[in-house]
Amino acid sequence: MKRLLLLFRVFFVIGAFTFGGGYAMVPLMRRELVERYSLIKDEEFLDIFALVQGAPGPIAVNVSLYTGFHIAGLKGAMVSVLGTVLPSFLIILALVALGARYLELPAVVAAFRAIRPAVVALIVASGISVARRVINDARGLILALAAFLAVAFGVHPALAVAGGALVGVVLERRGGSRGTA
Amino acid sequence: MELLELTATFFRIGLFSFGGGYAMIPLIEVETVLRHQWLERVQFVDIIAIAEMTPGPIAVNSATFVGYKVAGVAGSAAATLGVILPSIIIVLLLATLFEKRRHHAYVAAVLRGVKPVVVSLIFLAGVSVFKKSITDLPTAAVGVLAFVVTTKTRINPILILVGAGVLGALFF
Repeated sequence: MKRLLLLFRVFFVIGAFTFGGGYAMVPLMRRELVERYSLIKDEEFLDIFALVQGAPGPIAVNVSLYTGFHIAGLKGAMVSVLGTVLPSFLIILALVALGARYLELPAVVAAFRAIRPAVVALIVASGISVARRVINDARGLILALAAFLAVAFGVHPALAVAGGALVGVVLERRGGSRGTA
Repeated sequence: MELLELTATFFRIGLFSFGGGYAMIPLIEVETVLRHQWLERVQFVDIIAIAEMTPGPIAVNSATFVGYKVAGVAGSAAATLGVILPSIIIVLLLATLFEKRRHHAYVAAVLRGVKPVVVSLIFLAGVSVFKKSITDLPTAAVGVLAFVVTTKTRINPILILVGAGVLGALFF
């Protein structure tokens, strides 16, 4: 029960404060769940982040569902997804009730103008930290760069993920795999 | 009836969008503006702007908003449920299938190939927010400051975001 409440709280706070969508939220999930509360190992969290690329839907929702399941089974999954979704739901409803004009107040606009660059910093810092864990040979680096360029030039992200999976399998079949990423 | 239609529509949106919330935006437009004519194009653009400005997953924000426009609070609940239902079904299926097989040779091979791609997707998300947000010296300064604080200290990242917001409200 305590664990479920903790899960709910972690996801709720991240859902309530993270602007910028899934790729901004997941790094915070990693930091809270792995580093702060040791609810899951980094290795496992990164596996999950990679695995849910195979599922459609919002990344933040998918990661919270799977990590919740991993940590506390079906109940954990439900509590975590509720925590992720509820803040958005309540904030949007409050906004339509009060009027979206509050978003146009000068102080609010100014706050957002400063929050977004901070989001960039969090995303980049997390990208570096994940890269350090995940990319440990030339092959991984080439794959990451190729995917970056492909998606930057308009290839659908899902296609890049599928391409990465295929490369992984082909290299495995050729017996070229060493160690674990 | 309208509620069921909202759930079904957002279920389709959730089901057919790989690559996260931003990948959903064109699909949401086709469904809500062109197909169901729940919204006018101008309203759609406003809703996406608001969804990007508010915290949380973009897909959930826009589902809640569109649902409300169509059928009030019940509409919000119906649309939000619809957009996360495919995730719930598919991710739980994935989780039960893979939880015990993460170390199976092929699963490990797939993960080894996918992880570097995930790294590039994280950086691409960073680039995309960067382009929209870092436009002058003050915003660049906030970005650098936040980066230094998050990498050199153990301050909770949420506090960093809140701190940036306060800084912005006071000085921007």
